[in-house]
Amino acid sequence: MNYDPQEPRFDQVGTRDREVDRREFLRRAGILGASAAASLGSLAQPAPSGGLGVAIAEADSGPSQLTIRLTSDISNLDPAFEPADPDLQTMFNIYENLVSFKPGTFDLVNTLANQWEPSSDKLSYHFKLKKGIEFHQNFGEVTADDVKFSFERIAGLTTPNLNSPYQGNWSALERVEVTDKYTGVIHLKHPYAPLMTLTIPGNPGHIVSRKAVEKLGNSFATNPIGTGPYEFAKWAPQQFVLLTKFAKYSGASSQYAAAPIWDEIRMNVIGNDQAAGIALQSGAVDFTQIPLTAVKQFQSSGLGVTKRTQFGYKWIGMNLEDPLFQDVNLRLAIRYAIDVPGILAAAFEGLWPQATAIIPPSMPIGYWKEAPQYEQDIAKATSYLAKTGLKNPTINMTYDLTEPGGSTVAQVVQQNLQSIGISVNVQGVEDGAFLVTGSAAQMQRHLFYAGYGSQADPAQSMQWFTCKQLNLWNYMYWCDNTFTSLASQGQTETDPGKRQQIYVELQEIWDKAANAVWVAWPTVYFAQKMGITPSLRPDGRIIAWNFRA
Amino acid sequence: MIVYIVKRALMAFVVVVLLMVFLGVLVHLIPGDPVKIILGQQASPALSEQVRVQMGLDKPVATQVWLFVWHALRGDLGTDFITHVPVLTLIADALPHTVVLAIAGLGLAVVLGVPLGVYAASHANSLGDRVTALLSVSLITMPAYIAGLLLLLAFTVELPLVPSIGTGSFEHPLDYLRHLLLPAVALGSTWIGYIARMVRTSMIEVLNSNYIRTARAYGLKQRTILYKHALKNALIPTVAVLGVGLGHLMGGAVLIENIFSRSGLGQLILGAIATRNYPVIRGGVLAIAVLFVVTNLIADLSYRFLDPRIRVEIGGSGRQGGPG
Repeated sequence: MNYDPQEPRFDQVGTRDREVDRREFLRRAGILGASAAASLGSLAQPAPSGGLGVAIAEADSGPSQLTIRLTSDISNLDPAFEPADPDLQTMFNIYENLVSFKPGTFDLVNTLANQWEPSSDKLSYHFKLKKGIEFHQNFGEVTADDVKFSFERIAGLTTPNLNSPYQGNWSALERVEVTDKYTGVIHLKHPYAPLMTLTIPGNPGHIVSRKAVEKLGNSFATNPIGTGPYEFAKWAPQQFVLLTKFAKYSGASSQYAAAPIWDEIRMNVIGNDQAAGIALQSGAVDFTQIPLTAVKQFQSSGLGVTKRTQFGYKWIGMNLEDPLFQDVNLRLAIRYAIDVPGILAAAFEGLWPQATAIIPPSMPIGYWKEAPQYEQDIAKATSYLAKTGLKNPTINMTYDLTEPGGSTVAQVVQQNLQSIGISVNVQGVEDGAFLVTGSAAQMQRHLFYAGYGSQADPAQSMQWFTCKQLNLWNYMYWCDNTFTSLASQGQTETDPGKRQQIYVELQEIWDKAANAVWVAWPTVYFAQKMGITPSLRPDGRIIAWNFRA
Repeated sequence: MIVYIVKRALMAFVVVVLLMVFLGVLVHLIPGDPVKIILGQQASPALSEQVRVQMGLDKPVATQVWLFVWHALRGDLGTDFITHVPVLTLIADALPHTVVLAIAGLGLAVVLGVPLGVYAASHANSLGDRVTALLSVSLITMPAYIAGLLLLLAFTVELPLVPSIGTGSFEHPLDYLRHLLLPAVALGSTWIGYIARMVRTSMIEVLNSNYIRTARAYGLKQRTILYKHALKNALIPTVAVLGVGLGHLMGGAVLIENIFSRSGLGQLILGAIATRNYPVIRGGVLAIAVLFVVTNLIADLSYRFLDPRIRVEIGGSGRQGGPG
C-alpha cells in the first residue's frame, strides 16, 4: 500500500482535517479575496456619471440623454386606445394637438393650429393649421384631412369602427369639415364643455397621420407617428422606450416653450417603487416618482423633490343596494366615526391633503370651497347608530389590493367603527376582482375603499356616479335623478360661471346623501437629480420633452 | 434505453396537453372581466360587448379552451389583447432572459453550495461546519426579494459596481453579464443554502460507506476521495432536487425581474394577469410549464449517468454497479 506521510493516515481522518492552521487560513483567505476582486473587477464599472451631487453637464460625451421612469411598460401608443399612464406619458412627447395646455398650466395655447375660433354658440370650431409641420418618418405634412381622420376615427365615424374607448370624448362630434389643405371646421351636434379641457388638448385630440395609420395598421400601436419634438426610436419590451429628437421638428410649441434640449429621452420601466428610488440614487434614472415612505429621506438627501396633487380622489363608499345602508342614520354614524386625519397619517405619511369633496382645489372649475370637513365625533356617531336600532352590527369592507395604503385605511376604519360598536370584516381583493359588479359581488361589499383618477374637467370626475353607471363604475349603487340630470347639464353648459354653480350643486347633493367619506386628493412626489428642472402639469403629468438642465 | 427515453418524452407530451386544458379553464376562473379592465372606465356597454366578441370571449368556455389547445398544438398562441403582438413573439423575447436568470441563479447556487456542503461534511461538527450551517440557514430563510433590495443598495448605491436596473442585450455579452450578476445572486441565494445542506447530509452518509473507508485505507488523497468518489454518489439526491429547483427559480424570477426591472416571462405574466390578458397568461404559463417538464425530464435522464444502478435497471442487465 502506498502511504504518503504528508497525507492523513487512515486513523487520523477527521481529526487532522478539522485543523486549519493560521498559515493555511491566511492562504485560503487570500485566494478567496483575490478571486472575488478579480471577478468583480472584470464586471464592475466606475460609478455612473450624474449620480448624487454630480451635475448633468459632467455626463459622458455622446448624445445628451434624459432618463426617466415608466411605472409599467407601454402597451398601446395609439391615441384612440392608450390604455394606461405610461402610454400617455410617452405619447406627450410624440404627438401634438391643435390646441394644448401650456406646460405647467392649464392655459390653452395654439400648437398645431395657427388660428382656433369657436363659434358663439359653441357648435363649431374653425381651425387653420400652421404650414410645413412634418410627421415623423417622412409621412409628410400635417393637413386638415389628418385632423379629420384623427378625430373621426376615435368618434367612431370611420369604417370600420375602431371601437375606441374614447368615443365618449367625441360623442358630440357630428363631423369634421375640410375646407382646404390647412383649414377646417369641427361641427358638434350639441355644445360640449369638456371639448376644450379633455378632448382637444387631451389624448383624443392628438393628431395622427392618416397615411401612417393606414400603412401600419395594428402595428401603429407600437410604432406611433406624430409631429412632436421626439420620435419613437426603440422599444425593448419590459425594459425601456427610447425617443430621439425629431430632426425636422416644426417648432409648433416654440411660442410658449423653449426648444427641447435632449438628444434622447429614455424611459426605463421600473415597476417597483423601492427599486426606482435606488435607481435614482445609483444614477440609472434622472427623475422618478417616489413612494410616500421615501419622501422625507429624499428631501433630506439633497435631491430635488417635487409634488403635485392630482385630480383624482380617494373615498370610502357605502353600498346603497344593501338594506342596512339605506338607513341614512347608519351612513351618518359611519361618517362621524371615521377619523380621516388618522387615516392620512397612518396610510399616507401625512403627505396627502384631506379631501372635502370630489373636486380638488386645482381643478379649473368646480372646486367647492365651502365644503364641510367632517371631524371624528364619537358621540354623534353613537347617537346616529342608536337611531338605527341596530345592536353591534357586522359589516364587510373591501379594498383593492393595488390601491396604495388600502390595507392601512381599512384597518383604521375597522378600529374607528369598532369604537362605536360596529364590527368590520376587512377583505383585500385583487384589482380585477374588485372591479367585478353584479349582484353577488355587490352584496359582499358594504363599505369599500377606492380611488378614481380624473382629468382637467369636473365632468370626468362626476360621470361615474350617475344612474347610468349602476353595475358599471357606480359601486355605491347610488341613483339620484337630480344628480344625473345636473351632471349631464354640466357637460353641455359652456359658460364657466354657470358650470361652477352646477358642480358645486352636484357636490352639495352628494354631501346630503352621506354615502361617502372623502379621504384624500392623492399627491404624487417626484425626485430628480441635481441640475434637472422637471416639467409637470399641475396634476402631475410628466412633460419629458420640456425638462431642462 | 431509447425506448425508455421515448416513453418519458411521450409522458411529458401528455402532461403538457393536460396542462393546456387545465390552463385554458383556469384563466376563466380568475374573477374579473378582461374587457372592463382593458377598456377601462371610458368604455360604454355597447363598446364592451363589441370588443368581447372580437376577443372571442362571447364563446362558451369549453369552446375557448378547445380553440386554445388546438391552436397551441399548431404553434399559435394567439395575440396580445392590447398590443396585438403575437404571444409567441412576446414569449420569444422574454423567455430567454428568464431562463438565463434561472440557470445563472441555479448555477451560482451549485458552484457555491456544493463546495460549501463538501467542506461542511468533511469538517463535520467543527467550527467551520457550524459557521457554514449558520450561513446556509440564513440564506435559506432570506427571501429573494429582500436579498435583491439589499444587494441593490450595497452594490449600486453604496458601492456602485454594477447597473441597478435593466437586462442588457445579448449583443453585448459583458454588459449582459453585468446586468445579470446581482439578480442571479439574489435569486440563487436561497438555493446556495439548500444545496449546501443537502450535499452536507448526503456526503456525510457517503463518507461513512465501506468503499470510502477502503479508499482511505488505500491512501488516496482526501481531495480525490471527496470529489472523485464520494461526491458523485452524494450528488444524486441533489440532482433530483435541481430539476424542481429550476422550476422554483423560474417562479421566483418574477419578483427579481420586478425589482431589477429585467425583461422576462415573470414580468410578462404578471402584467398579463393584472389586465386579464388571457392569451398572454395562457401562453406564458404554458411556456414555463413546458420548461419545467423538460428540465425534469433531463434531470431524470441524467440519473443514468450518475447512478449505474438505474442504468442497469433500464438496460435490464443483472450486473450491479459500484467499485469493484
